[in-house]
Amino acid sequence: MRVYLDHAATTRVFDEVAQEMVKLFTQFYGNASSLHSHGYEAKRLYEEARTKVAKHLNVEPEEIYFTSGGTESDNIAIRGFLKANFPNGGHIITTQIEHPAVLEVARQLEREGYSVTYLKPTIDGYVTPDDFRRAIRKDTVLASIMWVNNETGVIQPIEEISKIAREHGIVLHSDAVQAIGKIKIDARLVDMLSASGHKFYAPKGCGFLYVSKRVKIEPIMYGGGHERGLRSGTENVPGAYAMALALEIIEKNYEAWSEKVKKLKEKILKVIEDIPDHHVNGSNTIFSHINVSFKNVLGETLATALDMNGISVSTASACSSHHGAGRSHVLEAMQLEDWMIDGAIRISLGYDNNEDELDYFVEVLSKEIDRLRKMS
Amino acid sequence: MYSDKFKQLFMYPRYCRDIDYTHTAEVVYPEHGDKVRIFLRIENYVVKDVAFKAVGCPRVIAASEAVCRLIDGKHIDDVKYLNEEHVRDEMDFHDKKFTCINAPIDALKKALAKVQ
Repeated sequence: MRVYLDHAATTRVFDEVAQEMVKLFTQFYGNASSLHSHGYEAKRLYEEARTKVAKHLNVEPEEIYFTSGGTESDNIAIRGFLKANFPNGGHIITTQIEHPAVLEVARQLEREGYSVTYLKPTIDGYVTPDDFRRAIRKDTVLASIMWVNNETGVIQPIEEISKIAREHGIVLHSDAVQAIGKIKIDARLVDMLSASGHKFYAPKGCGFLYVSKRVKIEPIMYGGGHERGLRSGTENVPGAYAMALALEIIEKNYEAWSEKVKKLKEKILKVIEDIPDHHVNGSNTIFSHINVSFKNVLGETLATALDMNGISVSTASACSSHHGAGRSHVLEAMQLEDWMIDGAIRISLGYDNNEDELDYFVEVLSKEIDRLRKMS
Repeated sequence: MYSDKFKQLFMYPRYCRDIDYTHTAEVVYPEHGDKVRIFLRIENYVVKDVAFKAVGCPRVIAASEAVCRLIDGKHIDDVKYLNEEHVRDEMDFHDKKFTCINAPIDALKKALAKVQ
C-alpha cells in the first residue's frame, strides 16, 4: 500500500481541476493579453479566477495578483512594499520560524541596511502578541508573520498581532501558504498575504498575492507590465483557473472533509499516546498537521523506514550532508530538547486520505519505532 | 534514492543482536546524532561472531550491518584492511558527500585496537 502523508509539502491536483486544466491547455490557450477572441476567452477565464479567489479571501478582485507561487509572492510583498515606501531603510519585524522565502529575504534586507527583529516563538511554537508589541520601534515599517507554520502546523495569533500592527500603523504581511485551503481566514486582518497553489490541490508554479488597496507597492521585476504592472510575465491562465476551482471544491466540501481529517488526526494521536517517550511538538495546531518526535529514533531514519513501507512523511531535521538540510530552524527556535529536534517527523494529512490508509500507517509506525529502538 | 541492497541492510539487519563478545567499542558523532557500538567475539584472531547497536541515520544503520556482514568469520589481519570503499560497495551506496558511513568503521577500528 502507498500512503501519502506529506500534504504540507505538496498536494495531488484534484482530478476535476486537472481535467479542466487540460481544456485550458488545449482549447482556451490564447494569451490573455492578446487582442483577439482567443485572447479574450483566456482573459475572461483568468479574471473569473481572480474574482473567485478574491471572494474566497473576502477581498476585492483588484487586490489579488497572480504569481508563480509562495516564494515569489513573499518577495514581491516584502521587497515591493519597502521599495515603494521605505527605500532607504527601516525596521522590520518577522519571526525565527518563517519559511526561508521570508527569512532569506529578511537576511538580505539586513545586508542592504534594513534592521530586522526576529521574534522567538514559545516552546509551543507560536510568537506572542506581547513580544510583537515589545519589538515595535519608532522606525518599524513592516511586519511579516506567517499564518500557520509549515513544520509544526501551529496557528499564529494573527488576529491579535493585526490589532497591534494597526494601532501602530505598521503594514502587516502574512505568508499564509499553509493556511489557505485548510482554515477559514479573513485576509482583511492583514495588508498583504501570500499563497501557493500546490498546497491546496492546484498545480505547482502558481500562487497569488493579496495586497490591500491601501498599500502602495512597486514591482521587483520588469517586463510587459502584466498584473497591473506588479508582476510581469504572461498570465498563467490554467494555474489561476486551477487555484480558483480548487478553492471552490474545498469550500463546497469543507465541513465534511475537515471533520474527516480531524478524526484521522485524532486516531493517529491516540496511537502515538501509547508509544512511550514521544513528544508532540507545538500546540494549537492546524487539523491536518502532526509534528512528533520519538526518543532514540532519528526523524530521518523513521521517515526512511516508513518510506520503505510505502508511506511518505517528512522530516525537518536530517543529516547535514543532505542538500539544504541540517537541524530544523523552527524546532531549534522553540528550544526543544535535542532528541525532540533530531527525532521529529511531520505527518500532514490531506482531504484524500482515508481510514484504511491510516490503519496501515499507525500499524507500520508502531512496528518501525519498536524495531529501530531495539537497535539502540 | 536507495538501492535494493541498501534497503535489505537497513530494513532487515541480521547482526543487530546480543552476543557474547570479547571486544567492543563505541563511537559517538553528536553533530550527526549518530552513535554506533560494535561487538566482536574474537577467537584465535578470527572474528567468530559480530554484532552492532546503533542510533543513527539510515546510512549509519545500513553501514553497520554491512561492516558486520563483511567481517564475520574473517581473520583480523584481513579485517584491518576494511575501508570505506568496501562498505560502500556492500551497501551499493556511492554518494561520497555522506561521510556518516564511517561511524561503524571507526567503531570497528577502535575495537580492533584493543586486540592483543
